[in-house]
Amino acid sequence: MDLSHKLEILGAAARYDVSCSSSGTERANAGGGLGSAVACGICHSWAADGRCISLLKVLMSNACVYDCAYCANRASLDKERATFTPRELADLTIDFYRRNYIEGLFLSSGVVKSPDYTSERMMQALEILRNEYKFGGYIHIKIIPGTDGRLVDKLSLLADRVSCNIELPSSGSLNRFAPQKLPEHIFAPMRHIKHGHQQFLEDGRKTRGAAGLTKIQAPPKFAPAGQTTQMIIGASPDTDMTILTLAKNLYKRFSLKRVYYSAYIPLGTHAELPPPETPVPLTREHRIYQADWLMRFYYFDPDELLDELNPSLQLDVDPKCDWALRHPEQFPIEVNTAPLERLLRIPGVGLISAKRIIEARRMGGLRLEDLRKLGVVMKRAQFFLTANGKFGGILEPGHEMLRGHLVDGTGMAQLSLFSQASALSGNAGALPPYPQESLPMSAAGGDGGALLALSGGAPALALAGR
Amino acid sequence: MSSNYTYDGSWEGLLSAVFRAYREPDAAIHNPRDGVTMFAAVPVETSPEQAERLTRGMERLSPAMPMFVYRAFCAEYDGFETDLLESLRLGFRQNADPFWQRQLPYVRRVAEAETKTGREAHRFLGLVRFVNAGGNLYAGDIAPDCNILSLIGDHFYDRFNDQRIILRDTKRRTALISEPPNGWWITDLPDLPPLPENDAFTEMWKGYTVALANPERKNLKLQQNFVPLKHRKNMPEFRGP
Ligand code: SF4
Repeated sequence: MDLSHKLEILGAAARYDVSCSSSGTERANAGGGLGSAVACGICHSWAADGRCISLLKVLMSNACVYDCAYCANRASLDKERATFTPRELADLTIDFYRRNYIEGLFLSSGVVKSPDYTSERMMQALEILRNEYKFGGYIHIKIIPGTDGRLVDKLSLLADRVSCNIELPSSGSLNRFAPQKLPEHIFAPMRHIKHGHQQFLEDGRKTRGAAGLTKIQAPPKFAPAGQTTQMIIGASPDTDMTILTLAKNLYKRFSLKRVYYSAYIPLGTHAELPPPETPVPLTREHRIYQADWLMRFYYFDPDELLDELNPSLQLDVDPKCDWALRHPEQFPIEVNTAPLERLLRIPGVGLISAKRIIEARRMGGLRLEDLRKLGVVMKRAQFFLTANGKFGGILEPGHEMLRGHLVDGTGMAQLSLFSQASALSGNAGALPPYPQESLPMSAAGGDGGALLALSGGAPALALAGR
Repeated sequence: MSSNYTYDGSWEGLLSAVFRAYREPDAAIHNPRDGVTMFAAVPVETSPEQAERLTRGMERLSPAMPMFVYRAFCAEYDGFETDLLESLRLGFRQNADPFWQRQLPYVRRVAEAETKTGREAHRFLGLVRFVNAGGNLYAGDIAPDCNILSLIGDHFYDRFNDQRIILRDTKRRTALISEPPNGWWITDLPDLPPLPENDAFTEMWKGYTVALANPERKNLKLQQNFVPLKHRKNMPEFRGP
């Protein structure tokens, strides 16, 4: 099989992954070598579905011995299989990189023979890149569940970012749809990476502390851009409540940089899964991203957004509006006196506009008409705030008609457009939804930003910058 | 009587012209692109020494200011020279960086030009495509709205510091030449022979980008937001089969 055909198969096989953020790390060129990773993401191209291509995203192999029900590469499907040799993959990466097609490599793989066997081949490819070609570009590697801890270590030392995907949000679903994977196969590598990464950060601090006195070599970089994971939305019957609670625990326990969510694209591979004509739950994915954002930067707890009786996010309004609609007793909020956490509860007030409000009100009382200039989206916010006691909305917070004013019209077709636009313009009022770029997290550098964001207090805001 | 000045189109030339016109309240500076004869403009001789003095002056107001003004200059918009003159007069009079005062129309135009250039320069870090032109020489074409070559030289020099690069701006007929370890520079390019077309990886990349898109999430409009049609002719993944 020629290389370009292999590439098409293994590129197509990799397309059901969401993460495309290449930021979060800075790797200076060692001199004489090739490549550098810059902290602000550089996007190179955009595929026909509008997602950015900044990394060569491929599988090492789609010849998998596992049989996960939701997967297009599962063993029991009859399809064309291909496997890169480590050399082929490394050379291809370099040749694309030299032509400025890509920022680096995003490598994953089906399970060839065993997790360890596959991981070793991936590692060989990375070793060629880093050691032989002195490649300094960005590398994101997927850890195959069940990989031995020593291999996880080695891969983490070669890559910038590592991720071990949970895919299914509960052990019940995992058992049903991916019976060869045990929860421990996923959590063990995550723990491993967390410890390695923390050690690396700690050594870094020590080295910096001692820098003035003696010359100490910088510690080896262990997954400098941290770890992430991904969950599939809508394949299993797991509720949004389950998904968000798990996400919260993951952020906490493993200091993840991000949890990515991927709307399940029905492939018709398994009788218990949604049939092929089921619409892809893009709106649900979008709402989950918004809720995730609220947890990380707005001091929301999953329990506040959802409970046993209402385990699913509303599709017609964003989760923050929904919360506000269900808690009229909390409003209106006076912008001239409310503390940061309260300001952030107001629909239409974002991290940046909240910060600006706090700055601006020091200079004197804010009036309703000042708020728009500070980036507050008054279309939504007017119903939930007062300025110097003045209320400007036509409906009171508890009014039954209010919901109609807050529906954001996020339909299937508009979804991505809407979300891209707001992500790009840095619209302070809207919640940045679909993750083209993990801005606030990457700004955190290697400091376990996810944990900070959850632990309350000021740090989360500081990360958001201005 | 108000004077009209013009300069040689270079950055140092611009600064020399500003230096000269600064104390004449009604003076205007015209870009050589405008067709200067119409204004019977006086050409100001480029003086590196005056350019240097003005640069120091700007740095005193704010260390980042010379670079800021340089990026605005690269946007090449009509009327920039006069807007700059006004802004600098204001800044030196108040002894403060004038570019915070965006409520003033001439300041805003300069500041917006700066943003435009900065954004385009960043975007082109990704949009540039090279073909192998033999050995370790790689060549590419771009046609950006702003004159960004000098702003992206460092990036490409640092990133590809074992390959030689010719990146041509086909609109302005200039090229960025990167020759590690000797450095990089910009040169004029009267002639633009077509780039080599026999690079096998061009086709492979095209095939890959097609394979990668999820048909279920197809969104061409969104794609277009990111890669405007006008830039596509220099990108193999958007060229016909
Ligand atoms: S192990 Fe990975 S590639 Fe293999 S079937 Fe499961 S999800 Fe698919």
